[in-house]
Amino acid sequence: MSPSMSVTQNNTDTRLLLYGTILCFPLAINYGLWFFGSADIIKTFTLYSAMLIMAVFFVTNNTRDFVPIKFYLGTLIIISLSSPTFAWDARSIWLFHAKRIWIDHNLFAPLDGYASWSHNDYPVFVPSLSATLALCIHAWNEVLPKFANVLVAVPALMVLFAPLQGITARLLCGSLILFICGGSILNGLMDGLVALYTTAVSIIIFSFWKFEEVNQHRYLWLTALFLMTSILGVLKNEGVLAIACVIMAAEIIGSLYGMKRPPLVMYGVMVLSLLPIITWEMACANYHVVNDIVGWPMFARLKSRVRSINSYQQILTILSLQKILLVPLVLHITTGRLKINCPMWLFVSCVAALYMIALLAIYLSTPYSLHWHLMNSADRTIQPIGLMLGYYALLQLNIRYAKQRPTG
Amino acid sequence: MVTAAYTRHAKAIIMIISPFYKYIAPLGALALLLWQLYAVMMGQGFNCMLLFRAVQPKAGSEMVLPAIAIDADVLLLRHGITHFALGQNLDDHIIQRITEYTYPLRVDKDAPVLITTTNEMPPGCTLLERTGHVALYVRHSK
Repeated sequence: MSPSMSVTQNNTDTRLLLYGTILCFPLAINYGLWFFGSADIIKTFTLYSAMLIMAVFFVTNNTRDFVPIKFYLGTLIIISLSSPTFAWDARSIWLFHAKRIWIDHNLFAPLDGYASWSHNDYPVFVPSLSATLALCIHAWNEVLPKFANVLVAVPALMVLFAPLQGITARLLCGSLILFICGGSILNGLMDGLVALYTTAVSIIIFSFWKFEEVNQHRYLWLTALFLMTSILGVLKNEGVLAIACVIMAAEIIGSLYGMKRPPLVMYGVMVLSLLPIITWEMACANYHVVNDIVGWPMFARLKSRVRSINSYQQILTILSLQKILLVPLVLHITTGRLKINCPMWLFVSCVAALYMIALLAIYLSTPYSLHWHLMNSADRTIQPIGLMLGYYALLQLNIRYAKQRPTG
Repeated sequence: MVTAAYTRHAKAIIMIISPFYKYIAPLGALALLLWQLYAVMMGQGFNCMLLFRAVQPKAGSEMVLPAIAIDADVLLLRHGITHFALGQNLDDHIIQRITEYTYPLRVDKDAPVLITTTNEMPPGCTLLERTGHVALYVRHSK
């Protein structure tokens, strides 16, 4: 066994994991209430309870390590509430769906075929929360509904901050997230949230294979896995892709290193967590609303481009030349040379490679002009890979630094 | 001689800053975070006055929407119109902004009223009202 294999304790801050998990409940319940068409007062109650949990987090836990997290979240909240919605996708897709849900009092309002350019098949988890925010103020504006993004981002941020020890690592993690996701975690876009949740779900799933501490708080980790995976699935269509990549990578690396398999209940939880997205896709099929990329014609388009070297060259060049991929990639290669935690390094490499292959397939089957599609989306679709590479590099450096730090 | 003086100075500086070593890394990380937060703030059109209007109806509309969309909404509401068509001079971007902003009023190409730019004169229509950026026409029955 190599020295790097001995890292079985990740010292995750369970308080942060607990807060993140508890905060997921009102968000998930809010979606469920919209899905089943319950009374408005109950929906607003779930939103107020989410805000109450956040307030409790800010008021309690006055230890030094929590200061960077409180400062970070507080600043994100202020920026979100002091800026209007500019981005095209945010306005024309996510917040337009939210407005339709709020006005029509119906989660399935976007499925009626009106304004088909608005990608009506996209899941409406965050739009349903924006609709609840509008319910609370009995009005629509360009500021408050996108605050739902911050509310959804907070649980994933807490899971990401949890394994990091010390103020410096947490501050660097905050910078890294902003560098890679930029404003997309608070401007109404879903891509930043997908990146955050993909990384959070990957750290939870990998912990089941690698870290013994999961057994100490098994139900907490299972609940966190269920809620985070459910939310990732209904954030955007890429969410399901990310879940598949993470679980496949964990299986590959787990078998490669002969790690102890996680309990069967974890697989059961993973399957259950796909129920929200499955029910949404069934509703789309019921309303005959189809996705613009995924479907039978995608195979014909894929077939027409699959032998074109130029297409591969174009996709790989544009994707790999994004600064939000290059900087984390350098960090990732550096930590690979240091051999801090080989299974973790290989796991994140495997997830990144699988996700990249999936992106390649999606771009090859796009119904739009390849160049146009890449130029309009490459900096957003690459975010999950960039954040995973960067975050795991930081985590490994943090583990190495914690091991070197004198104890007592 | 000069090298020795530099070494002496360097040692003196190191001695002065050595008690603060443990603060250098967190302060550097904090500076990096503040820089990133500033970049995000600027990129998102941060306006601290919006914070005080965040729960008001239509707050921020004037900052992000073209005047034509705001005028169209005012005109349609004033005349109690629920379905409207859009003129041919409007580009896709404007059409999408009008569609989002005026919802629940719906765009319908067969509607009896038409929203156009002020410089468009649709044939077979009578002007109902004109504002700074848009004009509202009633279509004659075919």
